[in-house]
Amino acid sequence: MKRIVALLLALMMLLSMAACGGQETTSENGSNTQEGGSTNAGGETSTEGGATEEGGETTPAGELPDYSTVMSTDNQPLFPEMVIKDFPERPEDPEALGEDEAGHWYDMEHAGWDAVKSSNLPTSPGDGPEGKEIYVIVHGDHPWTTAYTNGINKACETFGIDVTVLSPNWDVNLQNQQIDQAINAQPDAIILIPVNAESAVQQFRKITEAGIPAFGSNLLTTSAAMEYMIAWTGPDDWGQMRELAREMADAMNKEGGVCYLTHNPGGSAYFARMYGPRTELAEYAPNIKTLDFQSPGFDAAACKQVVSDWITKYGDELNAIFCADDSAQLIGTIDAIKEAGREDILVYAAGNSKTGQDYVKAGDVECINYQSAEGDAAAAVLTVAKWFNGEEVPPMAYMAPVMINAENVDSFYPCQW
Amino acid sequence: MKTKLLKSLNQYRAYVLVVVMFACGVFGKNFYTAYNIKAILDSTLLYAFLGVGFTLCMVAGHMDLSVAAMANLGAVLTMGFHTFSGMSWGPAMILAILAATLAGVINGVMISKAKIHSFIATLGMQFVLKGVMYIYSKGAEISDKGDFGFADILNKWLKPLPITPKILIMLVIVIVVAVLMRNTRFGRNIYMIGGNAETAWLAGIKSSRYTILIFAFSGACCALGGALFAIAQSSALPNMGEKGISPLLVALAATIIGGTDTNGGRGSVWNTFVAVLGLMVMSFVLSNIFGKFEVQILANGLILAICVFYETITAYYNNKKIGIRQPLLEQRQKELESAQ
Amino acid sequence: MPNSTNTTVRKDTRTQEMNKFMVIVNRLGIYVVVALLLIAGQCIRPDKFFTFSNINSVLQAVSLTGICAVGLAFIVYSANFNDMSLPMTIAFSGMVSVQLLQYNFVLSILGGIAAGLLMGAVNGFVIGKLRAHPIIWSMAFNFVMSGIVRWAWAGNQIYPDTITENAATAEQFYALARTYLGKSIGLQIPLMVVVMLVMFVIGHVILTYTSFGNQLKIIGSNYDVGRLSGINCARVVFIAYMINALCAAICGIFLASLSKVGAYYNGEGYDFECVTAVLLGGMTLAGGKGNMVGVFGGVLTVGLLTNVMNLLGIPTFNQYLVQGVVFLFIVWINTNSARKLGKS
Repeated sequence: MKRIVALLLALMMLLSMAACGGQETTSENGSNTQEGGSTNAGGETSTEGGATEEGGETTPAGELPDYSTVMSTDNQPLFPEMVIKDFPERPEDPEALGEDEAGHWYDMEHAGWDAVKSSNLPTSPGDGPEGKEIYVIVHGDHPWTTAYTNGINKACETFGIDVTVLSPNWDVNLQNQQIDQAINAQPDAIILIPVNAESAVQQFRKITEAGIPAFGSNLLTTSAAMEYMIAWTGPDDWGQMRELAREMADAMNKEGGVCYLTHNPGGSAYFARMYGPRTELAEYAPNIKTLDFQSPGFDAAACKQVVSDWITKYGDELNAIFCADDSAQLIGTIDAIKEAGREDILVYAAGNSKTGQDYVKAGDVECINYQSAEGDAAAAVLTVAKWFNGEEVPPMAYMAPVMINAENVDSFYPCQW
Repeated sequence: MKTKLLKSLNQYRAYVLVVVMFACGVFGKNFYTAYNIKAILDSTLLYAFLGVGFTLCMVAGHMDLSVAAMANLGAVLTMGFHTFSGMSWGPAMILAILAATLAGVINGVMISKAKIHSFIATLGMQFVLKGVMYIYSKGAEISDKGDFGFADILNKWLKPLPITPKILIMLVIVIVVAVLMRNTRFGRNIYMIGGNAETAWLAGIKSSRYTILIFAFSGACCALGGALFAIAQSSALPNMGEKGISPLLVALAATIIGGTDTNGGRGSVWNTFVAVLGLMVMSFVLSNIFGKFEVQILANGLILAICVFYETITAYYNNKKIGIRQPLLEQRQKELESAQ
Repeated sequence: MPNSTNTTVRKDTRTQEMNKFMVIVNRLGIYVVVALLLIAGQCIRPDKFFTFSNINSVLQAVSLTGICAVGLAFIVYSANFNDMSLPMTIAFSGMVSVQLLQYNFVLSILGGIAAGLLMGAVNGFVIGKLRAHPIIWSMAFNFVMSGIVRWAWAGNQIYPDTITENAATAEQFYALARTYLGKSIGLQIPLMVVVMLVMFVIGHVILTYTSFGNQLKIIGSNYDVGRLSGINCARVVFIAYMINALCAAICGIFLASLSKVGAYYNGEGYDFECVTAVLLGGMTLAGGKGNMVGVFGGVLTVGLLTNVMNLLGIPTFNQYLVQGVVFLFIVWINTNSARKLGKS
């Protein structure tokens, strides 16, 4: 008897938990309505004729609502400025070049250079974004993703798109499941941030073969995956890192030694945020030496030990440290530097968290890059909206790189995450 | 009567999970479509293989923490042999599986000959394999360079059945292992070693040989799963599953929900597979209804915790009854019932 | 007459028959490895290895692992293998203490510890009283808590300085992991290291010199013997889990302070890292063997190994491999020596 009661209790607990979870989703959707106000000024000058015969009362199709006034949490325009990069010439055999030459990483940095769009990509309905239903599948739970989801909701509200966001918690298998689920729901479009660059190929293929338009966001995939998506938008990780590296080289007077704390091995951020600056420095300031690189992960204590060991090992040879992450890694680095009394070491970090910005403001870190999570999301939604409208969308568009340093840091508050 | 019902309910709890969760699909949108059912089956691929390996070891009274690393080893080596060394898929897979089998044999030798506890030995093996994979792949993801031929065969939807060839392979393996465990001397001996090592020794079973065999088999099984998963996904990554719910945890949860005794000697590979299926159905239902990951991880954990808790409570009350004579026990129960 | 000769012949020769090498290994245990690593470090960087700042940084890097290892040692000692719910205990106590910063500093510390103890109590009850399988249960519980924590904070991480309006409170919280003692005598010893050392001393005293420690040893060596000799096993195991949770909670608060954030992923990896240190220190999963001095050696080994490899400039990938092989080798030596001496 007792056991039945215990089992029933447990089941009830499960159900109530589930019910609470459901309520929370609805309340969250409700609370996100403070933004909006689709003032119909017709800011977008669409050259494309599109299908103008059909449309809602507020927004005639072929013309998107004015989105330039929508702001993100950190008081920047929600929809970022986008740039389209030209592909430089590809070296004959990238593998033959050394790791410190930019050409070696060509296929990774300029993924999509040889992408030939698949022939069975769906065509635009051309009747505007109003009332469309899309699925967004992100890569996992992280405060960054929470900000990204905020951005998705805001942007979709601007265009009147219904959106469902799914999160697979960094698990390829779970992401496959959610893609299947999204396909099963037959939405008008799917925006996907793949967990891994290479495994994205099959994921995008599956979506395209099911006849649903697929859009890539944030993570730069391989060329093969680019063939199966209509458009990709995201941050220019390599470009930003190059710019950051040049700032670092200038501050170092183009000589000295640098150590790198890397991102998790295997991901594209690992290569972009270590070999990006390294290859750039090899060209821009060849006198700067790479002393060491380590991947202690995102544990402040472990990073602190690595940096302390570097300070012990290299002493005055070490002039600058480049972190692939501006939260835990940066904290460990700054603590180790302060403890050793080596405030002369310059610190540069990739990322855009509150911790990093606070450090820039306090003057402990020279420079980080601005990477709006909400802007990233908005760029993807804007591309989808334009495509729904029948406009030509560029196959690849990057967010214009912006650096945050002591001079402009105040304009980026309050932080997104 | 009630206890009887509860007992059979508990015995078939993996099936109950599948049925209940499948019924919950009513609350979702477009849940009962052929595509969705095919997708659910597809997603069991990797976990089912890991579950088979984990269950085998647990039935023999050991714990194999290295299953996820073995699967990754299989995936990375298969993809690497194919892409870096230009082998065709068959030899690449066989070599990768052999490598994982070798790692499994080392596990088994450490456990049975050097008498290191399986928890420690496989924990250490996990680190070693991680290092080996990172060094081999230079930390990068390995792709098949657009060679989708075999992947397309594996992923082909055999309409009208909700099945793909990769799932067929998996089902065959699961059934073969289940039959092996149930109907052969080899299988029954594994149960005996896990149930009572001393009796097994007295019965003349060479338990060290069996331990090595089991771990080798577990390694091979996981590597095959990893290889199939990697080919179907066209890529392999040395740290797959390190974040989020790791495949190891899912395999463990499925093994426990499938009714395998945590101390060995009881359990069934088929039930583990059914439990994997149940967990996957649950995963689909929950993300269909809520779309939030928190609910999923909570539900996964709660189901596992409830199963463990139920077994513990049952064992606890059974333990209390030890030594009490049956008539006295019945008398006491009658007293209790009348008191209520 | 034959009686007297018999007594002279029947001399206890067991100590002489012991394998000399194994005796050394068993007694000195992990400190041989520590000494080897120290010598290796000295050879690699003669000028910089034995500086105060280097040793200090090694100690500091392992201080969080060490604090957890003290608690975990009680679990391993009581033959309950490992507490897989360590990561969530660390994360949960860290998050609760950051959340409570909105009231005041003292409450936040107490609340964080209470949150950890709550989890310890659940573990202690289910494993101590109901005798669940320790690994499976703590894994399941970790799973559940991870869901609850994500759900409760909606998957966000919380920053001390946005939680509290009083900037001084946040500064106080940050300062926890950044306080240095002994400035008057010209040394800079971080508070975390001092806490770790104190906890090791207290842990050693509890484990070796109290009746609780002895009861734990009996239970760890043979549960049934303990039960039959009248020890309240449930209570003793419960207390062991409470001690473990207390240590994890302290670690969690320090970790939140160090990383300036309360997040559900804060304690990731600590479950295996701590058990590695404990096992290196000569404790065995069979329970009832080893001591706190050895565990300290194990913690030192973990720190020194990383330090020496970093000084050598071994890439991270190869470090995983070296760590795994060293771990297996030392555990094999430990097991082997214990068996040769008939202790296992």
